[in-house]
Amino acid sequence: PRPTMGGDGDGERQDDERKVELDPDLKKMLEDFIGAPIDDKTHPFWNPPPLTEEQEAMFEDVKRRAKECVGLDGFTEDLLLKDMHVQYVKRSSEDKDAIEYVLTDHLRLSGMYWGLTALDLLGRLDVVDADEIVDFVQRCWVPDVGGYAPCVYHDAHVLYTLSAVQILALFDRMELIDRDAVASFLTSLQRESDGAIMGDEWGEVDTRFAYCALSISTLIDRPRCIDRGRVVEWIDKCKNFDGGYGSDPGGESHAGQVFTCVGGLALCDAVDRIDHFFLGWWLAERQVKAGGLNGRPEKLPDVCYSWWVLSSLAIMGKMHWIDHKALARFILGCQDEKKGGIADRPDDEPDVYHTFFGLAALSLMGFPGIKPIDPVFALPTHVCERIGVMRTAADGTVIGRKEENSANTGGESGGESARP
Amino acid sequence: AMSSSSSEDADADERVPYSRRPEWADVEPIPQPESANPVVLIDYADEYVDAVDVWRAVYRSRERSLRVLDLTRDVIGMNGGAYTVWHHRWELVLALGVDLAEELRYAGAMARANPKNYQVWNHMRLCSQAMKASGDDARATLAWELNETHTRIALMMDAKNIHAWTQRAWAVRTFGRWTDEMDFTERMIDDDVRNNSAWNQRFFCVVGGLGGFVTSTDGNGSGDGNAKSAPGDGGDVVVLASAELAFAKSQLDKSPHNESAWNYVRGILKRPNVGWGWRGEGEAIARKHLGDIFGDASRRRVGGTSSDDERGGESDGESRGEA
Repeated sequence: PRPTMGGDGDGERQDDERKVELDPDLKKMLEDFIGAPIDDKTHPFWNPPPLTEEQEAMFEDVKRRAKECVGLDGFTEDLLLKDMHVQYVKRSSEDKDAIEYVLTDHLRLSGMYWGLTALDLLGRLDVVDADEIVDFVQRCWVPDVGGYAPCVYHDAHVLYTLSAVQILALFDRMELIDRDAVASFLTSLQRESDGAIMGDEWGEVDTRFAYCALSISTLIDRPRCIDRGRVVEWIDKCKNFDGGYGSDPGGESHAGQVFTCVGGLALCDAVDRIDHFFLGWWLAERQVKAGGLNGRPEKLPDVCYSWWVLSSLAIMGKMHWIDHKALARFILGCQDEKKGGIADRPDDEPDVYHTFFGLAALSLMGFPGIKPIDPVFALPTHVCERIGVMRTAADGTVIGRKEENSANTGGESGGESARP
Repeated sequence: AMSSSSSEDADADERVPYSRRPEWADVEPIPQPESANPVVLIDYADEYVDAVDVWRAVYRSRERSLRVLDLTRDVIGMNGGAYTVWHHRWELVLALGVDLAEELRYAGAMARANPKNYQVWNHMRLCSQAMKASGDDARATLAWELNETHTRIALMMDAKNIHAWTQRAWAVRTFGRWTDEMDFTERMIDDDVRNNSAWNQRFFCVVGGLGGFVTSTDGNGSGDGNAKSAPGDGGDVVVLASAELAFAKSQLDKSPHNESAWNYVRGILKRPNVGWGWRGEGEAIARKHLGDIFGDASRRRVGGTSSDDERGGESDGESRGEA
């Protein structure tokens, strides 16, 4: 699609090729810039000289270098300390007598999702006891609410409901989910006033929760339990002046929130709402000299942003706007050669969270030996195929979207057109 | 299962575990359940486990008392991330009629200890909303002041703490303090011209302003609808756009390689009620810093023939200068 020039519905230019009625202010601006009346088509502005040989060569060189940035040719499997990462994740899931375990029970299911998906991407889900895990997940189910808590004795929340569904999806145990109850829970989370999604009954609102609800409802095949059109409208309100998205309307653009909104819109077949050119540009600007990606302007790079940024670009079909090789080098440089695992940046302590997101980003870029991951669901592609939900390739093409997932209403009777 | 060793501290004045306090003897602690494949792990802390085991029991039994309120403070003090404990505390605050201003101050202090934690800020919002809902103007003003103070302190520790900025934005909208906040963003930008959060906040206020500058103290509701003001009149727009472009221009003169400031300029120019005339201003700012990349040929003036030839523009709208 052609990049839009600040197309917020302002100054609507006629795209009629034959005759353009120029806004007088625009005309004056152009004439000041050119330094001549706009109708004078003999002016050099309209007749640029052809490129010199030197300029041609420079242009070709830039094109060649841009092409080289795409893909990971030359990167070999041994650059990734695969076995060490598998052992790291396995170890961190086994020692229950440690404070980190104790202190993080408020996000236990999410931690499990990160570790388990990392293992599956590396083809080593076999190192854990599936039954034990599935059993624990089910113990986190809160029947009165219809959602999952992060751990036993905690309250249900949309974040951990998604993690639970994702874990059960990994193990192909989705039949254990009480889909109607979850659907009712999600319905109850949609705010009446503006269609935003709350995290739980306490009412906190954040684009993360919108993404969770959209993803869960799609995975359990109850897309209409929330009004997708209203969620899309609310996400749209979170779009900022720089093309990015924040946690709520006006919230600073942040790569993590961008992922939740871009992913959320993709789940509703509403990616046309994205300011493709400027958001793509904003995302591309996340890459720093060292090759890593940051989460917003003037911040340090962090491996987790490799995922939030790259998956958003993948959904938008703009993954080639990032230098893949530089990013891969950054991620590989964050591996801990003694303990295994991946840290947020080189020489820091590794953790399961960054291990997962580092591997996920490498997967998107096609690193050898890692299974493909879906940029919308953040689940291995084969899991999405098994469930039968839409899949998004790394170049943004979508396979298998269902019309009911669309933000347009009128899916039920099939009478109203609502064809995207 | 957890270790039942006694306190490792030799010092007799150290805290007595809940499991040995007579006033808690009536409660049977609930230990951490066995779970498969737990998450990340550090060193085991008896004190925390002791306290949280008792908390689990009283959360379940739904006891509402001051001792439980104190217990939540203790648990949160050791683990600010325990969001269920925060919710529990809010329930207790309401049930026990705790002074909301005091609770807000407490949350503010916890925000300094746990600046990246979502729950502490959510707790502040709950307290503030309740103070506003009381209908007492003095309470509402106090709520604004406490929010302003505590977020400002958090930003002194980390000027880009997105939670603190989000909280400020919420408070500004709830209590209608747009003008105050514009001044604040200017100070923060002066401190660090590359503080993207400050630029974002400024834009947030400008939109609140362009949308109809709120001069009364009536904010946009309790923040639950996130409603922007209705579109304002054209006069405000001209003054504001002019002032803001000048502001951005002066910041860019100091430091042209500043992503935030350029995004800001473009953001102003993209506003629906900012017309094409302003694009020229933006272009002039850009041109100054780009230098003359087009070379003399394209800038040469042609002697003044202005024909009314209506052949129409052949430009397809693509910018020639896109770097």
